[in-house]
Amino acid sequence: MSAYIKALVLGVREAFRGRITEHLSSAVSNGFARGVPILESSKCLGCGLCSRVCPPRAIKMRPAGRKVVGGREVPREEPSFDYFRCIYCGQCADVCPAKAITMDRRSPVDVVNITAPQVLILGAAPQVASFLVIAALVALVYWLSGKLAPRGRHGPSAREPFSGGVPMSSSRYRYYAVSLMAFVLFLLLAEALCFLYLLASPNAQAFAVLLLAALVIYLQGLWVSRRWAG
Amino acid sequence: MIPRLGYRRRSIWLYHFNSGGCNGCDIEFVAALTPRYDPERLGVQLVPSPRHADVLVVTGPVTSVVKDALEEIYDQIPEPKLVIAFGTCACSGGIFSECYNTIGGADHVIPVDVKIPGCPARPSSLLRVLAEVYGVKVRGKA
Amino acid sequence: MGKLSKRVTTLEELTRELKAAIESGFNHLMAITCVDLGGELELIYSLSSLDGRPLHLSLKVPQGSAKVSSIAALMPAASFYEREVHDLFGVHFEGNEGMGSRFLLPQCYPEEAPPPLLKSVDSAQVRELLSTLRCASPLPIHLEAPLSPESVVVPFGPYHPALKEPEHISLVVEGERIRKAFIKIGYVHRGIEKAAEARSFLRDIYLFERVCGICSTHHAWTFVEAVESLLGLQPPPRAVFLRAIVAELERIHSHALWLGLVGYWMGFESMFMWVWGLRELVMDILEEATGNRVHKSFVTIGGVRRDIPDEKLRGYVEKLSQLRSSIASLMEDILSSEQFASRTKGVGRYTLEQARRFSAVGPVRRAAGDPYDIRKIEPYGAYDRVDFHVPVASEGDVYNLVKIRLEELLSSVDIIAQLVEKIPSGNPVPPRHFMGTVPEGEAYARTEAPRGELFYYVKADNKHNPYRVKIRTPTLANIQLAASLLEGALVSDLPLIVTSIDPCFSCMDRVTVLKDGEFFVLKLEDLVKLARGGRSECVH
Repeated sequence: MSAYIKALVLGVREAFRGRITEHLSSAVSNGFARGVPILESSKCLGCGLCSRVCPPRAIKMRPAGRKVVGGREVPREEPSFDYFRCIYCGQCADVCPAKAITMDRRSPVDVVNITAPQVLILGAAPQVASFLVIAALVALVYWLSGKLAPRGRHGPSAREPFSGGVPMSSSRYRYYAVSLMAFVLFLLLAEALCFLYLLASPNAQAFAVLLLAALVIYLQGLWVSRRWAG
Repeated sequence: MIPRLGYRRRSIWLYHFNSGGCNGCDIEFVAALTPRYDPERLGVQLVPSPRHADVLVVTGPVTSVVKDALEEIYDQIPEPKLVIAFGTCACSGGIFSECYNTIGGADHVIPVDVKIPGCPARPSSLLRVLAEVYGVKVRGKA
Repeated sequence: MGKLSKRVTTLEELTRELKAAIESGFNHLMAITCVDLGGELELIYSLSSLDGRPLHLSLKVPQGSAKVSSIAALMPAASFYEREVHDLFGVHFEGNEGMGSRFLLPQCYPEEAPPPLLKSVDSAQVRELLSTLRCASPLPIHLEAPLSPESVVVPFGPYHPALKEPEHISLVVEGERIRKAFIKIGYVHRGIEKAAEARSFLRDIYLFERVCGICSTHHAWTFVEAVESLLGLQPPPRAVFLRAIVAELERIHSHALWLGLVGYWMGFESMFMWVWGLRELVMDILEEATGNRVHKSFVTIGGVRRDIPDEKLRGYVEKLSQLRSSIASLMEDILSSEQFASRTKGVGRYTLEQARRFSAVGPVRRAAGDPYDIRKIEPYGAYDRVDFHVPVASEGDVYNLVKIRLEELLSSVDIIAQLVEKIPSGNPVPPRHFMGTVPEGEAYARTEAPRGELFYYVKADNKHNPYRVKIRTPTLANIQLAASLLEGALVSDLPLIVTSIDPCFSCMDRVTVLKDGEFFVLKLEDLVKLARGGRSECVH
């Protein structure tokens, strides 16, 4: 019985005590951490002591311009920090004779860009990657067919792909508007289907389907242009 | 951060992989599951099987013996997945990068999406990353 | 601590001298260190008596074909230490059953390949060799006696939901009882001792800190004590007190961590969440005082890295007394509950004789009855200036271990209060960072890490880098006891028994490999323990 009373008292007491859960937006950096080493270039002597003393060898001396020593110009070196190898011990800041390294007392995730190295076009979300790839391919197709289209009688080079070499002019625009529209609509439809497919299963097969769709779009474009030309 | 988990980002299930670390990041990872950081408000849970997981959290420099295990476990996690390298050793091998039995960071073995530096990485950094994956604007109200 | 004074012995005399040493009171084997001296290897057997007197026996053997008779029959604790030396230096110990297989190194590392810790072998060489081998094959089981029809072999690990750290155990299970267990460790073996020889003393402090994330300051402090004895350097008195304060804070955090994990492995998640919630208070204090929650990087050669002002210290003492009362009342409620007692009393029971035989250290030894605490028997730091009581129980089991670790946690709070009261003023930071050479010599140091006695051996030869550093972590000493405890135990009690020694595999993997050839029953707890403890010591 006393155990139940104790538990009850404990529960009531805890209900009135403040919560210990931290707010999500609050202190990732609370100002007490040793922090991130940041270089102040103007004070650096280029002595290399920080690099020699760094436990995980995260500091490498890189050439950084020239400086004047004793009336002559000599190459100057500066430390470059690999923040993914750094153990945030602060030894570099301790030994620097010129106090050129300060410890920014925030947490590494606030100072270092933790996702930048990984954001490549192919590392991006499949939907975005596929959209960009399709756009690039279509632009390529557009440019290529412009180069490959037969030269028109009126000019040395074709100016408008899928047109059989007739240069674009505002008076004749209405003749190829319809097939162009059909081409664009088909393109949009194909892209929409690919998007839906990628949403459902983002993997290599879906990507292959995208490329296939781009090819089909090109062929459709050719067919449209032939029909128009013919 | 790109929310590549789609709608699954509202219920992130973590699988923890210790690839031979000193335990510092492992303990900080376990501390990130405790009431002070409370990841369950984001729907985050630690799961015992890679088949149930969405996010793989790797700690420690990869030693030569666990390299194959890491690859297999990565393959077992179904798409879409995210890999978080938690701690300096998982990012790049850290202070053990020249030791004879370590390979280096986790990105020598599997593709890594987020690298959280720190020795050990703070539990609040993991919460910050998970909140971004979830879609919460961390600098505003949570 | 201090410079090593060795008694030289020969191959033939070794066993006799050891027997004589044991009879005269040196019955605790601290470590077996091997040093590569060029053409020959030196084996140093470090013994200690229960009142803190050390004895070191030195034996020189030629490299290459070194064959030494094993002392495992005399001191069972030696079997793991010898296996480690065999793995890393190639010394063959006759009479030790583990000579046929690998202890710390990956199983695939061939016998003919050069042992990694020899001076003639380069780290890069070993690395290249390891990259060509496929190292993750599970341990093949060789059983000398046929299994009964009911036996089942269950492979456990290296990655398992119950394991926090990787290790592999093949269990021969009959129903609910484990009959035999074959353990393979070394998943967290990184090669730290070898890497230490290539780095300067200052950089090595940070490396040794990262042997274990939980007792990191003790590793750094023990190393620094050994180096300071070689240099003949006395740190300023305020630094000595500050080191002790941070070390006691670390003990509080480590014991709170363990108490929470006991709850976790027992299935009592509320206890885990509550204790870890309270533990955050200590982590905040550590962060404010030293700049980081876990790897505090506080100790340096000649003193400490930063000063903590007195008012801050007094503020911490107040916060800690709040913590003390919260944890004491919480654990009192838990310990008095019947369910907790029934799950922990009598589980993993061992006697003082067993603990002594395996040279167990730390709370595991004290639970059995020996007041073996380095802070009392060979005081270091400021521990001789404070008054504290070492809790001892009469029989080792999980319940007593919980009680002892809780009492140690509470007494650490009192120790910190006393230290803050008595702390002298002055500047604890050394005038310059140590970047010089250490004169030739050998020294050893030992401290009472949260898990037990931590032993360091440092040999320097007038260079910027140490010649050899050897670490013997407490979990290595305790795991042999734990392994023997598992015999006949239930599978479901496995996590508790294994966790009860507070294993730290990152510390362990540095050195030892569990016995193969010797059958001992591992309980699930063992596996869990192995998982929890995980050694990550890099063995060089």
